[in-house]
Amino acid sequence: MNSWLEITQLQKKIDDFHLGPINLQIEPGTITALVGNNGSGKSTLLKLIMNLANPDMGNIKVFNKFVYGQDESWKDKIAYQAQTPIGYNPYTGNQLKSLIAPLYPNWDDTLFVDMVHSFDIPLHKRYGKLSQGVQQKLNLALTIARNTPLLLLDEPTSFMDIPSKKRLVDILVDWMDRGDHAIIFAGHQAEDIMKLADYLTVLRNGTMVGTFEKEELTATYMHYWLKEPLGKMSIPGEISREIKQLVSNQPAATEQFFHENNVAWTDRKALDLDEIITYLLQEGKDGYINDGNDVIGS
Amino acid sequence: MQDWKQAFRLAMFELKASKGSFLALFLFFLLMLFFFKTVLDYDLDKKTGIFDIFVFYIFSSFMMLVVKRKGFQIAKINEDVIASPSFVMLSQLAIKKDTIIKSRFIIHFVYSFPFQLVFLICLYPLTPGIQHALPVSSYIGLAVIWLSFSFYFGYGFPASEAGIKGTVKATILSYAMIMAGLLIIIFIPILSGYSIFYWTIILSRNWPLASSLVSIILAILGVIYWMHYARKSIEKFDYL
Repeated sequence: MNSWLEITQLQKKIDDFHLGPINLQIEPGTITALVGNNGSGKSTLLKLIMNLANPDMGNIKVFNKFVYGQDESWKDKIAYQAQTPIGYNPYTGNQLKSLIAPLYPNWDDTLFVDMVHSFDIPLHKRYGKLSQGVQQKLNLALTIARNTPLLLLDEPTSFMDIPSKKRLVDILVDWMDRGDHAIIFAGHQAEDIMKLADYLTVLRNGTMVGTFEKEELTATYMHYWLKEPLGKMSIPGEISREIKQLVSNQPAATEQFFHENNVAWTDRKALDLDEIITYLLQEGKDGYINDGNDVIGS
Repeated sequence: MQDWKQAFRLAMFELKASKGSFLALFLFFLLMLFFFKTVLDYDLDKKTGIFDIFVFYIFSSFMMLVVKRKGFQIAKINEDVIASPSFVMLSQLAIKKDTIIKSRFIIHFVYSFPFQLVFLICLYPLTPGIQHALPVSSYIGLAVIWLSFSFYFGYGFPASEAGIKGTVKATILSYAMIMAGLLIIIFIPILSGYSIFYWTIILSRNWPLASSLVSIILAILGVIYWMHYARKSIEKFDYL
């Protein structure tokens, strides 16, 4: 299957921050969460995809077109919601809609109206006069309603109240079901990631840790409670240890070791996604090495 | 043609939201008309560089930047780049970069040309000093010289909306260049005996056709250059 987005060996240096190398492919029907600590390069990566910045190395293709090429037809097929939109302040929601809607042939006005009502967005007020939460809701309505195959969302729920977050997740799930779509979103909220994402692409201080299938990842990390302290023995898959507790990202190998060495454990529990992300973002704790070729949806 | 049509639609969108700025521009030009009439009637040929600064202020289109609403003025996008927020907004939408540049040029045209043209049309009948110095045909030449200047110099402003360096070094350099420009304007009358404005009166009086033709060619080349400059700026800057 053809990738809608293909990132190859992408690198970007900004002052003393270095992003990449990033290798990523996005295929239809998938939702990918970009996960990383603050300043890990998630927003920069989305802006590079939108050709708002120039990479130092590597390539980005959207629908088989280089984003920095002369052919800009790829722009019709991608909708981007910036974390902090620039240039919206002087306009009302109505004005912004009248600017944006005609640019996208598949603009879904029913969805836009539905989101405006659901989120109670006043379209007659100037964007700059709205609260951050309402700005974010309006921005999302203006972005999702473009109904492009590929949707990029940068921290879409960071200023939202809990009911609105839940509503947004429903909208996005419904939107994914209505045709060939793919979403990439940058986010910190484990709940959103848990509900929405099929894949997690993890960035740690600009370095790509890897891309993981969510279900696989949640099944991989296991927390064990042991009968006796472990002593100094080295355990396969071990990524964290306390006196009588151990966390492993290779549970099969760990349990095999326990069995062979008569190590008794009283309980085990799969880690929550936010705990797994925490481990992935701690250098040296993940046990993963980026193989440099992450394909999503294949 | 389709590009220009879309650029026009985008420009209208911003212009409709900028109505207050046009009232400010109208009042500014009214004030300038009164000022020019008074000064030119008093002493046409011995103007100092200070008067030229006002001429440059109007025809460089600098004052259009000042009257723009805050949300439409160029602003710091990040540590390194100053650009137009509208430009950045449009860059994130399904619009060709060339179309965005054209829309910025159309907006600048609407902000500058009609006001400058009406200003020049009103100045002649209101100012006996100019009428004595130039017949109508030569005055048209003078008008062409300054309107053309507003193209080959003024369109640097919409071109810079795609991005200029916002570093401290670049800012200091910009201020230094502005200061150097002001000093040149002030010193030309001292060194040559006439102000720049009066030199253009001499040009239009003696060679109205030639000076007009050269000015129009410069205006066309200027706009082409600034469009190219804007395209290069987009490729150069990171809107992070």
